[in-house]
Amino acid sequence: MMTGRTFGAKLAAGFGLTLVLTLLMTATSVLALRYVMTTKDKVVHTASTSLIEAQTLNALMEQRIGDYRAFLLSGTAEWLNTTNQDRRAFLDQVIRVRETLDDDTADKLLDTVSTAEAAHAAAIDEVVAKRQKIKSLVSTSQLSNDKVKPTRLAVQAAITNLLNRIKKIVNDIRKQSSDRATVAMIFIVGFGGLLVASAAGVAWRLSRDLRREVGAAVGHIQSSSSELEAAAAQQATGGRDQASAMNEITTTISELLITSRQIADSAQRVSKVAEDTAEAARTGDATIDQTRASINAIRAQVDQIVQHMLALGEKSQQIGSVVDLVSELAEQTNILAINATIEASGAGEWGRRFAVVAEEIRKLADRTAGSAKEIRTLIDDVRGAVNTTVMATEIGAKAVDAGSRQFDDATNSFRRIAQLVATTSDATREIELSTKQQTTAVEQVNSAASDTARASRETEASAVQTKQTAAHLSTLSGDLLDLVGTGRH
Amino acid sequence: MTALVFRAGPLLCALRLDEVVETMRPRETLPLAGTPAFVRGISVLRGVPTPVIDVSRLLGGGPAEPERFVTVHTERGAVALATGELLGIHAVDTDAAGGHPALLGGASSRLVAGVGSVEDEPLLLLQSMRTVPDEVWEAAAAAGAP
Repeated sequence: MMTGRTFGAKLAAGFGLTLVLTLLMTATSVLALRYVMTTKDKVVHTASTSLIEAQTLNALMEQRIGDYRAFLLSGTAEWLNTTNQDRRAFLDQVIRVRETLDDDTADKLLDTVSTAEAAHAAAIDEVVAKRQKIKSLVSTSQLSNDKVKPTRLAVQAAITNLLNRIKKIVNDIRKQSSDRATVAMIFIVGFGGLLVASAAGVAWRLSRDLRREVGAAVGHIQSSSSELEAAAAQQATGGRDQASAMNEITTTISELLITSRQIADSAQRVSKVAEDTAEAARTGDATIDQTRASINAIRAQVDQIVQHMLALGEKSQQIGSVVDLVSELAEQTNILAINATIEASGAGEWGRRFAVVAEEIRKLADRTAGSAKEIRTLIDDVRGAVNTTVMATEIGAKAVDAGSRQFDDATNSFRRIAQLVATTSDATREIELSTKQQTTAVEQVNSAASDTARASRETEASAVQTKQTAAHLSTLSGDLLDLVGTGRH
Repeated sequence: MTALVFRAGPLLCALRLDEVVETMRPRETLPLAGTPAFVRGISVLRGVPTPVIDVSRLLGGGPAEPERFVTVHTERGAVALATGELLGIHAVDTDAAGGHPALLGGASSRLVAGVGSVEDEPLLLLQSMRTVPDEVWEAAAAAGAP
């Protein structure tokens, strides 16, 4: 029924059951005491009221007899009144006694008392009347009456019987009360035994459960403490390793910080260089324009050189034509001179002289032809040189064109370089800014790493503390196992 | 003796001045079938068809481009000699076909009248075309035939 409940619930249930039984026993004891007390009250009431009131009857009877006897001696009306008052008091007392009685036998005995008293009163009245007639009492014998004594004894006997009956009733009630108290005591003792047995059972059950469950739990706690101790040791080792690793990380981050600052400085320098480069590029723009003008001037000069060279070639060709004509004429002259010499050789002396002239003419023609040939050679050289120059100039013009195009390309490249330099300058400034932010971030990381290293050391210290606590807990678990009676595992 | 000195291919030749009619530039020459190799063909000079002989080929100097035509007298009319450059009219001193005629060969010895020198270069004085017999021409034609 209690399976599956917690030990606390079981403990509460056990204590609850014990408490309920205790309350029940308390209530039962109270009821029993109340019952016994009621009975005893009844005994006391009966003893204190009925018995006393009845004994008062006896006293009142004795008082009346005394007052009556005083009247008889004195004969005064005072004592007679007192005697009469005594009788009324006696009758009133009879009524009070009757109110206290609840026993039929006692009531009958009281009736007997009343009857006897009435007889006694009648006897007394006779004596009283006799005394009132006597003025001077000489002897008591004058008042003799033989009824008075028997009635008086009868009254006293009746009162004695009543008293005995009431005493018997008190004794009966007392005995009955004692019996009930005994029963109540037995009941309470039995109930107490039941309660003790129940408490013992609960204690045994709780002790068993305590040994079983708490022992098992403490055993688990002990093993868990051992595991916790091992884990704490491992954590301490890990914390130590982590602390050393964090120290290394901190060192590395410090180096990284230095590097970041160096990068920031380098980026700043690069930014300065980029700005200088951009300024140089702006200066270079003007230089480029000047160079472009110079290239265009060179191109015009080259064109003029080509034109002049072509004109020179044309003139050379014209000179060549003239020289060709001169050469032709010299050749013709040579042939004519030879033929004239041949003709003159057969004409005697005059012919010989003419032949001399013709020979001189031929020699002049030869020289002319030679000179024309040399001129021709020179002109050919000049034309070749002109052609070479023209070709070279054209090549130069083409080179200038190519150079101009390449210069355009170079200019475009230069301007693109200038743009790129500007972009680079912006990027460098961004890099500088980013690097500064990075430096700040690295400083924060460094701080965080230092905090983490400190936390690692604290973790290590905590792990050592945890290990000691776990060891202490393990020892406490063993002590607790001893306490619950399971014993050390 | 004065002679007209000219080049014929690699050779330096001379003709007696009285053999020469005139000199002129080369004219258009028509080749003739069935003629010897040294005959370049026929050309019209001064209105007369004239055979043209390549002197260089005739003297075994191989073919050469003519620079001048030199017309000479023969018994059958004028003959044009295709020559190289004319060096002018010089006084030539040669052995009259003496010296070592055997070295000048058989038939060709009839074409060369003598051997002299001009400025350390051998000079062949040609035989007068009028005295060259027909067999010489035939022999020359046979020797020049391929």
